[in-house]
Amino acid sequence: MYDFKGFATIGHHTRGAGMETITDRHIGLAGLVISFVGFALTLIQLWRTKKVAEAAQLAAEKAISHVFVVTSVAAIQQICGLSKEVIMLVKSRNRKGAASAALELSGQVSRFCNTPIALALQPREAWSEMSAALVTIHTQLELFADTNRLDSHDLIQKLSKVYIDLSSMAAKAELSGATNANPK
Amino acid sequence: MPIPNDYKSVVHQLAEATQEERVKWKSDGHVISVRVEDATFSVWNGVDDDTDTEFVSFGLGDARNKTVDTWAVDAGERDFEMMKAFFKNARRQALGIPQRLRTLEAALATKGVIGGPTAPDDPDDGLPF
Repeated sequence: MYDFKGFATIGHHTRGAGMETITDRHIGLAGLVISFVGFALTLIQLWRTKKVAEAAQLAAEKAISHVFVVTSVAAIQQICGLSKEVIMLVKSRNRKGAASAALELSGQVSRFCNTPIALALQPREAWSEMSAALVTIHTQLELFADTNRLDSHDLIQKLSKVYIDLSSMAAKAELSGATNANPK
Repeated sequence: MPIPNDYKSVVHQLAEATQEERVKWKSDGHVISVRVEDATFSVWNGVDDDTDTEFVSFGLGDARNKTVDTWAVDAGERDFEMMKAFFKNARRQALGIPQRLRTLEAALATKGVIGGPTAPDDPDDGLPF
């Protein structure tokens, strides 16, 4: 039932008694409505995609931060354990072993002390002080090992202070890690 | 062991210079040291945990403070008393004791009121042992 008359009128449609002609204007309007709807749908889709991407990025950042906290907590606990080991080696008069462990401890503290977690646990100056004390302890242990004579009294005092400071920070870091893992 | 022959002259000269307050000793906790050009000389004293014998040790370090040679004199050995006196003198100077005593003497000599606010607490106080 279509009567094609060029491009001006593309057909006639019979509906009941009357007859309507679908003109370019109708098509144009319909096209416009469809375009608007399509555009709106695209915008909604874009908005949703953006939200999903943002959420994914946030989740990834949170996961990275969590992994970082867990790693840092493990690091400070390891450092703390190493400081205890040095004390044990000094007490057992293992001069060379104590000197090597003190060097390792000094290196681990130097590496850890510049991380954000370390700086959150205590100020940079306090880390510098601890690093300097550990260098002194290591030097003394090397000297004691070289001369095969060990006066551990002073060293045990210094090492105990380092151990207590590190233990306190390890506990603080652990608590902070747990809070980070289970935020309320 | 007594002072090794290679060191005898140097140690005696160092002890003499220390007596004359010409050596800038530095205290690094237990160890007292002085740096002269590319060498570091250290001296320390203690009681050995194993033998319960008092000793005075001497160390020679390189430019990077890496120990290159050490020796020790134990109580009862020749040179021990001399080395102990040398260590005590070096330690007193590293801690600035003679200067502080001179400052106090000068203050007392003025016959005026002496003393001021006390120094802040040492953060190292309150050790667990």
